[in-house]
Amino acid sequence: MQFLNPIYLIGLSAAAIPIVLHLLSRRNVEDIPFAPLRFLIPTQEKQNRRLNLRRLLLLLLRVAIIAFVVMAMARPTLTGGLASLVSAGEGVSAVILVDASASMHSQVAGGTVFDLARSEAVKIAGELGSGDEVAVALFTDGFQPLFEEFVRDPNLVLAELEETTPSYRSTDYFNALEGALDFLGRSSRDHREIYLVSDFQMVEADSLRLSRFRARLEKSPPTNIFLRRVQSDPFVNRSVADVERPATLLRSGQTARVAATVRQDGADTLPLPLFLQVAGNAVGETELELAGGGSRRHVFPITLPQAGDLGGSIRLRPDRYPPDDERFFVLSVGEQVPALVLRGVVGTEGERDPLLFLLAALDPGGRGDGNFDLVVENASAFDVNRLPSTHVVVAVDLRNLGAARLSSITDFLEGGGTMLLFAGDPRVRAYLNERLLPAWTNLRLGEFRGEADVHERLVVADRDHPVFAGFEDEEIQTLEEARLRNFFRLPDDIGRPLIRFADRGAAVVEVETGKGRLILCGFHTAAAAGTLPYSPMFLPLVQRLTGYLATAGWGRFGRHYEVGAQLVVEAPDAASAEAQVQVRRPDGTVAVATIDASTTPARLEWDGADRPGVYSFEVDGETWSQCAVNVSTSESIRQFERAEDFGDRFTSGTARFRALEGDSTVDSLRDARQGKGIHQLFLMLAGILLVVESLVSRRVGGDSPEPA
Amino acid sequence: MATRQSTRLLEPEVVSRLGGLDFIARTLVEGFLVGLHRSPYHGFSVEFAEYRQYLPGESTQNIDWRVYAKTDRHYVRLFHEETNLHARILLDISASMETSLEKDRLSKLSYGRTLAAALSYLFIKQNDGAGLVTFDERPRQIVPPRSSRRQLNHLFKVLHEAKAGAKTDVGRVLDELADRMWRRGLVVIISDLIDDPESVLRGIKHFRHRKHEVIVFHVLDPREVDFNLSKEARFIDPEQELDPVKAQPWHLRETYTAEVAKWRDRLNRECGQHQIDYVPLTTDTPFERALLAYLNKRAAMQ
Repeated sequence: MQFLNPIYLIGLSAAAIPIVLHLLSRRNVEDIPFAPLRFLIPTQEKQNRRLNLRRLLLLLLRVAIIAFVVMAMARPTLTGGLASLVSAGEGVSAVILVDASASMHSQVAGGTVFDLARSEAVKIAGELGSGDEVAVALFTDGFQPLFEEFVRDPNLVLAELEETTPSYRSTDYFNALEGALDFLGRSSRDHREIYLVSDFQMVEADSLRLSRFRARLEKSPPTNIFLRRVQSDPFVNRSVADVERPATLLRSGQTARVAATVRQDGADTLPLPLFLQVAGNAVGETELELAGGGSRRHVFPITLPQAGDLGGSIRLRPDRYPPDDERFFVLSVGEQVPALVLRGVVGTEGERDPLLFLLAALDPGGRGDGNFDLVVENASAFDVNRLPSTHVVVAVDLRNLGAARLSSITDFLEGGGTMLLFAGDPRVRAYLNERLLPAWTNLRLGEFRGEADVHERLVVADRDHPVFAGFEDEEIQTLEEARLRNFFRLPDDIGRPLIRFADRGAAVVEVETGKGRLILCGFHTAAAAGTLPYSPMFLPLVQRLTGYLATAGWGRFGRHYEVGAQLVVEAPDAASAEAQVQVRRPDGTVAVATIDASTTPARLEWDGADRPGVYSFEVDGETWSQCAVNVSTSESIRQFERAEDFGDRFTSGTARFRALEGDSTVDSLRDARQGKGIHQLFLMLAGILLVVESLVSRRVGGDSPEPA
Repeated sequence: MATRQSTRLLEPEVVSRLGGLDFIARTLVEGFLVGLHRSPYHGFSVEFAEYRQYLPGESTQNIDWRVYAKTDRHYVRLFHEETNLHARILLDISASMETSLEKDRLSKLSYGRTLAAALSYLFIKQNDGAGLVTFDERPRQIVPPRSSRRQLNHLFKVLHEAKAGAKTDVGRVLDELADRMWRRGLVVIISDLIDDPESVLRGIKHFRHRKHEVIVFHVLDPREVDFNLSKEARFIDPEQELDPVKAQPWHLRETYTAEVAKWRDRLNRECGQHQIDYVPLTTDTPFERALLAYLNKRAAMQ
């Protein structure tokens, strides 16, 4: 016999109450002087023996009643053969959770790990008794029940599971278990079980969610959670871990560099053939020698053939876990990105125009045919209606924006817009630190250094940042040779510092602003900033920073998503509100989506990206935008937990996690599964004893006055 | 109206709220006598003198010199002592008499004391001599019978001061007293008679043997008779001779009451066989019944 709520057994101590009362009542009777005692003695002696026996019986009955009630509350269950002796009563409500995340695509002999999980689920369903009810749900980062209500026929489970396939989405155990608990909430039964069939891939520990989940478990009715692990045999996994696209804006005919990072988790050095295709054409191929357990980056130069979105991929030869053997990307070529340049403090007499170097960077030819479609305005008087169609704002020495413009820019940044902000004039400090920056971030301008003899050297802080991708060592060195004076030192512990000062503090820091980004430079772009504006690397740096902000994956209209995410693309100018957009999936099938014209600019949100690949958005047969969708890199983690360890991490409240071990699910389930609940039997026994107790107590009279 | 009020005064619970014994006794007896419609007992106290020959050594104070003058013999005139009857009240003041099983109920001793006071008043009123012996395991106070009014006050005082004593040994004490009472008269025993029934009966019969008339007022608490108690309790012997008994009365009631009934029946029967009046009383019995029992006895003695 086992107890589902063993903590309640503490209540057994209450069984001592009748004993204590019994002992107290023995002591506490009143003394009455009684003269004719001699007539009482012979009667009493006989009577007392009978009475003492009855009292002992009464005491035992009362102790037993309390013990039975307490044990009933602790939910006793019978396992094994004994369980069959107990009439079934009400059965079990069970939810079987089947992991359908991308990692379940791992292959085993004759199928995938997902197939194993399905068959385990069917076996579990087959083990449930005739009075039990069951529901099955697939889970990834979402919870997808296959039934709307509990069913009683295991064959339905089999039929329903036969049609399922694993998805390419990531794993979220919290979501799955919470979904199962919610589903069990529909059942009024006391015996609740969850079966979690998964590969138990290691997930990042999110302590906040874990504590929330534990709190949820504590509020839930007692539930048994059985964990069944399914797994393929060990194999060496090779994966394309990352694809880096150029951070600059791409123009047709230019050469761009696409870098792939490949990884293998085996012990031996392996030759890995790597293939690059863009727009359906194989444009690169190489073979890398990759040491055991290592990763390697390889750069493919591509000559960009045409304007528009170019979908492509870098792939390896498929192994036993195919979803991470190919990663997809989209290169946006040839568009000029709308950029709004805001001029803040107007240069004083004798100073050069701070925009001089900036405009040289953003429009090198001065003809307006660069990567950016530039609009230059005074910060205090610009037209806020330009913001919705602007991808990036470049601002120098902002001061006195005014409340309305500040609010518009704040909305712009929160909604996914980006800004490159230069602040090198001491006059802007108070306004930026007190008004502007607090609205967007907790980053602030630090001390201002403006002495004529201070020339601070710079160090690139984060060479892995896409802004510096493709910079050669000499170029970095050239940048680091530049000196600054008239600058604000920025904190280097907030956001992501890109460039630091040689002694301390940061010069360029990237921070998130809601969905958008801000890169703050603690210097300005005029000659007064020192030798930096004259450095050969200054213009490329500004270009890179601006291009990165304008085209990176976040923002309002990204190009790169994970499976399952909502794709958001900007509608072409010509598209009308009624225009139907066809979405061509990687497998060639076509779906239809409708443009939402209520936003400015008009946009399209589409939820159907359920597999990795390049999705094309077409209007009237013309492709005008593409999105690359990849499997979450977390699904490539080839580390798996033991079911017991998983259970130990999650256990809380009245939920009991139990691992089903061994080769046979059925046997281990029979071993571990809660038996038939017998709390009703205990309550019934307590009731019978109560009746007997009342009969005996009428005879004994108990400790109370004589019954009427 | 007066009759009803007076009769009501004979109820023990009313008596228990009255003041001193003299007041209670007078009220009881007067009320009792008024309550009788036709008294068959008039003339008991018709005075007459008795002469007894003077015995040497006696006080010469009481010699009737007129008779001596006429007869030349010394006679003593016994005018202070009524010669009708010498009644002796034997009041048991042992510890067992002190118990009362209910609040506001007279203890057996109080009941007995009041009864003794009322009887004394009645005796004196009828010019009978009234005496008193209080006893527990031995006689405690002995007041020889007299019929003067002063005697009454003396009796009341003794009764008033009578405190519950120690153990009972009714049989032996009665035996002893019977031996000491050479003059025949009325012996009124007020006791719960809780002792060995054999020895009690032997003591009572001893009085009869000495030609006394005997009335036994067997006073018990009503709960000692019916055992109608509703709480479990530890019953202890007030005289501390027997071990305490813990019991729930409702379980023992039937057998206990049967035992008590058997005991009282036996007392009744054996007393009857020896012309002893056995009057079973409980402390809630109106005193009227006891007084009537006495008057009946007195009438029978005429």
